[in-house]
Amino acid sequence: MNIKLWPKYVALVLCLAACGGNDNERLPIWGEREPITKIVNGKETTDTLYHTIPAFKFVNQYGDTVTQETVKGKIYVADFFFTTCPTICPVMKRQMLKVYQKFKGDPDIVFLSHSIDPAHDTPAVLKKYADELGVTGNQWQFLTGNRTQIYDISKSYLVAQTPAEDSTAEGGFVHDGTFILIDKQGRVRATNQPYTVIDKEGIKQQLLRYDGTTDEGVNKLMEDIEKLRKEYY
Amino acid sequence: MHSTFCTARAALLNPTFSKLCTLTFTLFTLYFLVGCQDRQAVKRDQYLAEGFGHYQTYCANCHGKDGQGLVGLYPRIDANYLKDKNKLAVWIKFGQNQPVTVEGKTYTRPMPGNAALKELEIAELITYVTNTWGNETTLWPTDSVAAALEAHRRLQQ
Repeated sequence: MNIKLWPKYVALVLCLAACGGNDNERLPIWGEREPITKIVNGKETTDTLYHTIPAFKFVNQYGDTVTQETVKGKIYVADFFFTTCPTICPVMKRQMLKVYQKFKGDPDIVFLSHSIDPAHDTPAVLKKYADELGVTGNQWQFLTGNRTQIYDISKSYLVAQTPAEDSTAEGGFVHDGTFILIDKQGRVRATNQPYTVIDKEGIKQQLLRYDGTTDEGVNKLMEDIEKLRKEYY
Repeated sequence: MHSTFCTARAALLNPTFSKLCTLTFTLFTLYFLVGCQDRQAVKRDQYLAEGFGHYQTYCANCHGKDGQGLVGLYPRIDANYLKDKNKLAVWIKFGQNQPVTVEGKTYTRPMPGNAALKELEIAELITYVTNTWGNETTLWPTDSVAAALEAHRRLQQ
């Protein structure tokens, strides 16, 4: 299973940083953006339309419907996994559990884990998985639903590897190990301070997205959740 | 035989040579014995080092880097399950689907096997886990892995 670098996105963010002149403390907003010109009080002003997560409708581990309304006005962390995955998913869940425990009971922070094998991962299967992981309540929701819709929405989360069935991969699917940070407006955010991870082959990588398979990625995510929520004080 | 050789020859020459000859032989024997033990220890250490690598690659995702397991999903590596190394070899190679109970807690998720692992790799892996979390202090040889897998195959037929 590949955890790739995202040269495309790195370039995009560098460009945005160069053009935007953003406050350095703020986490960059990812994705394409368009200028919107409006006339306010007779004056022409330009606003920016950011990439946001579109409307969705899935089912959680309790069989309840989950939509964009569920996460409205909340900061949330999303990821993609499946319960029978023998490779990176257990590592991601081990890491996500740390983030969950840090923010447990915090009404501002929610977690959405999307199954990319929804045919197998029914609400009952997801409920058992959540129970065995020690997760109760609604703060961390495990989602299943229409497979095409799940795969499509992963693109909106700007993951490098769109989930796909792959008989050569262990477990039968490939997907991405990124944890995606979404702000209260539904925009994808990531760090402005690249961090280094060293993979098993000893190769150093500089990352901006939150690598859900490493301590480094997850520590950065926990720091940045705190940073992000300060924007809303 | 060696001492006969020494004595016979040395007697022809002088007693000092005889003593020297015996001393040399003793030292050589000691060196050989110690060297032999060293080689065993070095081999075990090699198995441990390789086994550590295999563990991190093939097992740690679920069972954890330190064998601690993952809450109620995957059990920690437990000494009770490390006693039967033949069974361990079969589980690693072919996977298993029986409930596992550790400290009264039962885990039911099937463990996938890793059919691509070679007998040497399984031997290294078992040496690592049994020396780390079990009560073992020596290596488990490749021959034993081969025998365990062969016995399992025969049972399947």
